[in-house]
Amino acid sequence: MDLERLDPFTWRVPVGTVEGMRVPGIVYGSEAIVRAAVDDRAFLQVAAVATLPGIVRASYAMPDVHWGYGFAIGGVAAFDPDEGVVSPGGVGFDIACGVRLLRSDLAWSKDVAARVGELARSLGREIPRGTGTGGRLPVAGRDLDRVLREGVRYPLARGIGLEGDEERCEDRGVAPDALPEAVSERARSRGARQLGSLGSGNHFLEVQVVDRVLDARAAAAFGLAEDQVCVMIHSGSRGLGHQVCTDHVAAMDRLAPSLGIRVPDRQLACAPLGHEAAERYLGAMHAAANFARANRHVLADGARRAFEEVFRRSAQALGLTLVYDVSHNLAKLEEHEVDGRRRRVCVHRKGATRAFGPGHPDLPEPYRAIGQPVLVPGSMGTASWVLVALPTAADRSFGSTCHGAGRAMSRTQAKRRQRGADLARDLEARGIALAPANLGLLSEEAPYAYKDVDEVVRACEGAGLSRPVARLRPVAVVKG
Amino acid sequence: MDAERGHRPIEHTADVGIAAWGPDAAAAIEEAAAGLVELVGGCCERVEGVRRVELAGRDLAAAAVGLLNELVYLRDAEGLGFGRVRVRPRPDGLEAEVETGPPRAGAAGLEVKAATLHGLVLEPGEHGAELRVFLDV
Repeated sequence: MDLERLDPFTWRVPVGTVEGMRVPGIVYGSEAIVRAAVDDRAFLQVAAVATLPGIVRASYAMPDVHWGYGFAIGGVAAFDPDEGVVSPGGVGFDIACGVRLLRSDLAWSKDVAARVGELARSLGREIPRGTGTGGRLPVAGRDLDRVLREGVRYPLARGIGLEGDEERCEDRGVAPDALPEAVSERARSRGARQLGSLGSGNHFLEVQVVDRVLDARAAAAFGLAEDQVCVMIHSGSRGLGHQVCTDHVAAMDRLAPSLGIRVPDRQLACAPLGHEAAERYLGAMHAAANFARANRHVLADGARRAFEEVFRRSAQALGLTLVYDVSHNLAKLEEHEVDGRRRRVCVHRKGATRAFGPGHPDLPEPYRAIGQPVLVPGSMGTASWVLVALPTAADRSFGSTCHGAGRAMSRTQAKRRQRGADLARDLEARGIALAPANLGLLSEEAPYAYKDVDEVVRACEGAGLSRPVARLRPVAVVKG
Repeated sequence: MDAERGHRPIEHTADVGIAAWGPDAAAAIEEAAAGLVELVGGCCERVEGVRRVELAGRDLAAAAVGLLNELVYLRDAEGLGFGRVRVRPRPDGLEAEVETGPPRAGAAGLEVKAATLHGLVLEPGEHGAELRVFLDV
């Protein structure tokens, strides 16, 4: 398919690529990234999203874009509250999947290098992972309702976590519009015992070392310095969020004939904003987002316990504090400038990270002058990144940027290339301690199955979305 | 597709799909269910019970996705393994009998979050009927 190049990092999917497009598609990426992805079906999915009613300005794709289901992964779309829709497929099954980063006062070379194996084993004991596992904090009944309504404030109220953790979370750890009563009994029964578990697939907990600082001022504001040891957690809303999406996609698909909305892919099933089906979905989605935030919070507590066990000092004494926690699968009502005036729009980010630039009132006070930290998990064995949102992101992508490296190879291809046990040996030979739940599935997440995360980060900067602050390399990987 | 009924995985960049076929729609849906159970490593050690489920949907394809999501739910929420799945189409969807039991020890597979409506096709095929469905993993 033909994309029009608008500048070195911006490409247009013209109206007409898919019948019924109301706006163009805009893809951000270097020539190498776009050429490599052109055979993927992702750009057709970007075009399909552009057919949805009330879409504002364009259907966007971030540089880590790849084929998803309904929306492309890396897709961003904003909808007018009066004429637009909400689509559960524009958020995804893993509602509020996201990343949490802890920093520490520990230096890799002096404090941790000699004990990383011990640390990986301790993390392996503390972090429930893999399929079918229960979490660190199973909840039910009223306690689950509180998680759905209060997000990270629930575990904090039970003494889990450190004072001030919530201040460095998106929305201060609590989505205000959660509607626990819109979360079905099935979703509750699926997720209740999983609170505080990592899951499987591309989810991970890694001990990482800051190996390069590229923006000293932002790094200082985020509390990061070279040789420092950090912990990155990538997980989401577990079975509860998956079931919320399943329930509401099915409901909206059934409603489609009566709503008169035709979509080119049924996974784009949607309902007009303001319709009861849309409001119930948004309320349930926010409740699932609170579950996801509490889940990462409880996992972080497990990481702190492991560090305490190995280093015989409290998490506070180790300086294991939160840098930020941000989701990359969410739909939110936000205020943006469109055609010269401020408007409320419903921004869907499916595999894309919110990126609010300096001065945004929703940012925690310590970061307001610098801009929002953006946490980009790399593939296992390569780098992860901390970025900072650029002011231009507001206009270019409704304040959004990439969420990871982005897959480049199917799971079958990845497994065919190398056995999990061989990959584990390779990683360990490179000094990366591993605690996998399932060696057989490990190679599905091999570094070679993903795009070059450094190239993705460069493209985000070139496109004016975010700027690199620090590069982090993994030294211990806990995988589901 | 040389057997009268069967299933095979479909490549997808991030996820995985199943192509299933059989002499009629019910057989194709049963094959898709068998394909899902294989992917998640969800066979049961022995059959201890049968769950009867009724699934409505906008059409039979959507009900088939509903059935796959029922299996995902039973595995995730109740930790069940599965034996045979038998399907009977109805005017408003389908009904199914799902053999259940404890999951086979040591079986490992993908964590499937859900069956999706993306690229969903249930149509006449070479052997009678063909179903294509993608799963989010």
